Amino acid sequence: MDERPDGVLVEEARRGRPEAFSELARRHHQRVFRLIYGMTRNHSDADDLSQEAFLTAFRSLPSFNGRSAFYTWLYRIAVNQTLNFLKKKGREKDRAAFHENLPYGEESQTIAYSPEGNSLRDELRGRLAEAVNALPAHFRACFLLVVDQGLSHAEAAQALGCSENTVSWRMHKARKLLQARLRPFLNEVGP
Amino acid sequence: MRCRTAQRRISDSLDRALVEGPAARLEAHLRGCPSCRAYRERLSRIQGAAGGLADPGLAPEKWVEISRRLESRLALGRAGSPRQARSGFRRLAWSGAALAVLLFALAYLAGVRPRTPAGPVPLSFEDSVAQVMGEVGANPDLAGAFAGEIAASIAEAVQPEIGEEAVSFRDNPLFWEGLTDTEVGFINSELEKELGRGGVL
Repeated sequence: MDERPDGVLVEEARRGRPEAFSELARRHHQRVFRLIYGMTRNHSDADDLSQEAFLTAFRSLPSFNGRSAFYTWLYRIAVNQTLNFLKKKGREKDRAAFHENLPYGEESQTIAYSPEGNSLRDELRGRLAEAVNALPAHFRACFLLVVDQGLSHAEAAQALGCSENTVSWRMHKARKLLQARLRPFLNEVGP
Repeated sequence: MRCRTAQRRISDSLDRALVEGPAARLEAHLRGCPSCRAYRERLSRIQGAAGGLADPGLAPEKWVEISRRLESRLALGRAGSPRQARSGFRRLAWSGAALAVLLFALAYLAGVRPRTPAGPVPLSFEDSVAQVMGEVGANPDLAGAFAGEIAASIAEAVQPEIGEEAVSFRDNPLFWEGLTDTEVGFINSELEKELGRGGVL
C-alpha cells in the first residue's frame, strides 16, 4: 500500500501519473461513497455519484489549488453533485416538511420495527436514520460530514463551501430538528 | 447565558468545537438549568446512536466490485480525457483563427486594401475666406448680393431681444386699470428718473 500523503499523490497525478490518482481514489472511495449513500440512501445512486465525483475530480485536478486538503475538495465535489442530483430528481420537494413540533410516528411509519430481535437502541438507530434522511439536504450533508465522517467544523466548512459559523448553525438546527422529532422515542428509550 | 445560546453551545461542544471560555459558561448554565441538561442528554443519545449512521452495509466483495468499476472508469477517463482533448482542440482552433486575422490585417496594411481616389485638399478657414473674397471682388453682381446678405445678417443680429409688444405695455389699458394710485405714482417717479423728463403719464 502506498504510504505517501495525499498532497504528494496529487502533485504526481497533476504531473501526469495516473496511478497516483488511482491510489487517491482507492484511499477515499469508501468515505465518499458512504457520504453520498448517507444523503441518498440508495446504493445505486451512491455508486454512480461517487464515480462521477472521482471523474470530475480527476478532470478538474489542474484547478485544485491545494489551499484545502484533497479530501475536503473531493467532498465538496461529491456534496455538490449529490445536492444537484437530489434537486433534479425532485426528492427534496417530495420530502416531508420537517416540523419541529411533529413527533415521530405521526408522519412517518415507513419501516416496521419488530420488537423481537431489535433492541430499543437499534430501533433508535433506525428511526434516527429516517429522521436524518428527512432533514433538508444542506443540513443532512453537514450532519453527515461532522457526525458520521468526523470532520471538524473547519473541514466541513471547506467541504461545503461555507463559513465555520454556518456549519455550527446548521449542526445546531439539525440537532434541534432531530431531537424534536425523536423526543417521544428518546424518552421511551431512556438514558 | 440564555437557553437558546446554551443549546447552540451544547451542539458545538458535541462537535468539540467549543473553546474554553464559552465551555465554562455553558457548564455554569447547565448546573442551574434542568431543561438544558435534559436537552444535552437527548442530543448525546442521538450522537451515540449516529455512529455508523451512513454505513451502506456492503459486503467486502461488493466493495471490490465497486472499486473495480471506478478504476475502469478512471482509466477510460484518462484515455479519453475528453475535457482536455476538447479544450486542446478549442485552443488550437482559436489560435488558428487569431493567426488568420493577424495575417489579413498585415496584408491589408501592406497595400492590398483598395486605395480611395485622392479628393480635393481641404482649405483652412483663412484660405477659404481669401478665395471667397477674390471671387466676390471679380464679379460686381456677386459683390452686390454679398453686401446685401451681410447687411441683412447685421440687421438680424442687432434686433432687440424684447419685442415691441413687450415694451408698449403702457398702451394696454388693462395694465393700468389693475394698479393702485400708489403703484402708478411709483412707476411714474421711476420713469421720470430714468428718462430725465416729466414722466410719461
